[in-house]
Formats: sequence, structure tokens, C-alpha cells
Amino acid sequence: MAEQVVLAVGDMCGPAKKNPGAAATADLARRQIARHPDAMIIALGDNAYNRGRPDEYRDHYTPSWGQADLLGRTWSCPGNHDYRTAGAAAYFQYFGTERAGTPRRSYYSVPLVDAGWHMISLNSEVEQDAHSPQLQWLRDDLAARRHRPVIAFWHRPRWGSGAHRDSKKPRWFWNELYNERAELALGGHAHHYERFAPQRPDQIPDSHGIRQFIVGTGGRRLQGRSKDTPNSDYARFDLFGILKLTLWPDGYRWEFIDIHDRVIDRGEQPINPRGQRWS
Amino acid sequence: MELTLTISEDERHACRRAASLLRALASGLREIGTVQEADACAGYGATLDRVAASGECCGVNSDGKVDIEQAGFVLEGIRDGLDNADLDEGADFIQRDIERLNDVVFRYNSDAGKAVQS
Repeated sequence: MAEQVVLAVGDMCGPAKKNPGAAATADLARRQIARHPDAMIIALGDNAYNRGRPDEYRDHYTPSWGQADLLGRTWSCPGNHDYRTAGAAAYFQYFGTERAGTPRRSYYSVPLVDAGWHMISLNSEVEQDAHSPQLQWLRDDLAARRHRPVIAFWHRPRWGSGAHRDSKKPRWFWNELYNERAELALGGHAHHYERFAPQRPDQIPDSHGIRQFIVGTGGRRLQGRSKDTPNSDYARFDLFGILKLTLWPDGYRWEFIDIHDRVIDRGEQPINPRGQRWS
Repeated sequence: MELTLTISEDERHACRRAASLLRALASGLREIGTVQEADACAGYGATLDRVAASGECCGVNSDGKVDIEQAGFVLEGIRDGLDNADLDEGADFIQRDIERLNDVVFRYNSDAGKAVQS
């Protein structure tokens, strides 16, 4: 098996005045793809401001991140701004069922065959609690792939030191993912970069827990620090950039790369041990 | 898209309290001459008042849902300000209201997703 490179970022495109970094992050993604022709892109939501309308996807997303060389390898999750169009209808139409799900079933998973990982796209903008169809689907999906390392992503992160701070609702996702020893949770929503140490759903540090990244640095005007959050190992509030993940069967490597191609943050970790459930 | 949502007692209380804060903020903003922002906050407050005054079932359209979400974002700013000033109790109180407003937003989004696909 080989490696799989994943480029992840959210909160990208919109009117230039409020989204000054979108073209530069798209160009950065293009330079990375030149080095890694099989790289995938994860769009972490709020892709086309301000209301996720068809004309906003056409006028703002398509000229940069929506060009064929990027769009053709993009997998996505919806953000709160996408839902300012009822049911996020334009978002689902733009990315299509395979790469976004549908308004009614807005979550999906993809096997990353080469790397031996499992990728899950969730929707933090709809109901997600214990009895929701989404959480039941997540349980079933994880159970069916119990022995694969897992990367999950949704828009609204569970923890955050920037704008919006923590979001309580995704705790349901975290509980299920932690029980199955998932490795990675990616989010956007807050317009900064932040990396957390692996932790349990109750914020107890745990080297076999979930590592969360916030990558809301795709182009929307950046936002500053709001508070100090436990287990936050690194944060930048002043740089547009993308998260480059390299996944292989036994581990993963992360690099946060800014629009000047500088690697700002990097590290590597083995996957979590498997074979028994935590709880 | 107009949808009829079930709104819990807790959520109506949260809307009522949030509307009070937004009215006060709108008043202050108007006094200092930021009319556009004052009008926006007053509009969010009016939407929340309408939800708070409803019974268990309330009609909410797309613009109303966005008003509720925007109200939550404004409350986040008030929460952060109180927290920065070590006024923790008020910050925690507002945080709970933000979560209830988000519950309404997520419910609207879920129902809208079903409606657009049916």
C-alpha cells in the first residue's frame, strides 16, 4: 500500500474584500498537486460566502477552488453559510451526490484504499444527537470498518481557541469516533489554524485519542484568538494556508503550509492501536 | 422556505433573553450613530421575540433562520467580552442561550434538507 496525500481547508471563497486569500490558497493547492498528482482535497465548508447561493458558487468558488483540476478531486462537507440557502441546495448541487451527499442524507464515507484509511464526511449543521439518523449512520459506518484508521471531517469544530470557541453539539460525533479509536477530526468555521493534542471527548489528554485540526484559513478574513483551550498545541491566527496530511497504513504526517509555501507546523504520529473497544 | 418547527420551552426562554440583549445593543448602537448595525440587531431581536411568543409550533422562514444564527454570533461577542472581563457567570449564561438558538437552527436545516429533496 502507498501513501495518500490529503489537502484540507475551509472558509475559502467570497467577495474579494472579505475573502482576500481564496485565490492564493487555491494556487497553493495547485502547487502541492503538481508535487502529489494523486492528492485529494477536502473542502471543510463555508466554501462560497455569504449564503452559499448558486451565483456565489459560480462567481466566487468556480474561478479559484472550483476549477476542474481542483474540483475534480474535492470532497466536501457543508458549512453554516452553505445552509443560508434552504437545505444547502446549491452546495449539494455543486459538488454532487458522490462528493457531498444529498440534502436529506448529507454525510458519507470513502475508503482511502491506497493508504488503508477510512474517510468520513459529517454534517455539523443539522441534527446530530443520539437519536439522529446521522449518528446512527456513523455508528454503523464505523462498525463496518472497525480496523481501519479514520479521518473524519465536518465544519463546526468541537474545540477552538478562536472565533466561535467550542461547539458542544459535535460531542456526539466525538463519542462515537473515540469509541472506535479514530485518529483525526478536521474542521473549519473559525478562521485560523489550530492543532490539538490527541484527547478524549472529555478533554483528558490521551495519546490514543482524537487529534483535531482547525483549518479555516482558506481565504475568508482571518480572526484572532478568543481564549486558551486545553490541549491546544499550536495555533496561528495570521496566515492563510492549507493543511497537508500524508496518510499511510501505520501513521500520518501533518504540515500546515502558508501561501508562501512555508511549512509553519509539522509533525508525525502512528495510528491508534486497535483490537478492542474503549468502552 | 417557511417551515413549522417545534420549539421547546427552553428554546423560547433563550430566544426571549437573547432578544432582550439584542434590543439593548440596538439601542446603544443607534445612540452612537451606527444605524445599519442597530437596525440589523433590532431585526434579529424581533425575530427572536416572535419565536419566543409562539407556542410549541412556530413558522420560521429562511431569513428568520439566518436571523437566529446571526443573533447567536452577536451573542458570542457579548459572551467573549464578559469572559474577558472575568464576568464568568454572565458568559456561561449566554453560552447556554447560544446553544439553544443553535438547536433551532440545526432543526430548521434538517427539516429544510428533507423538504428540498421531497
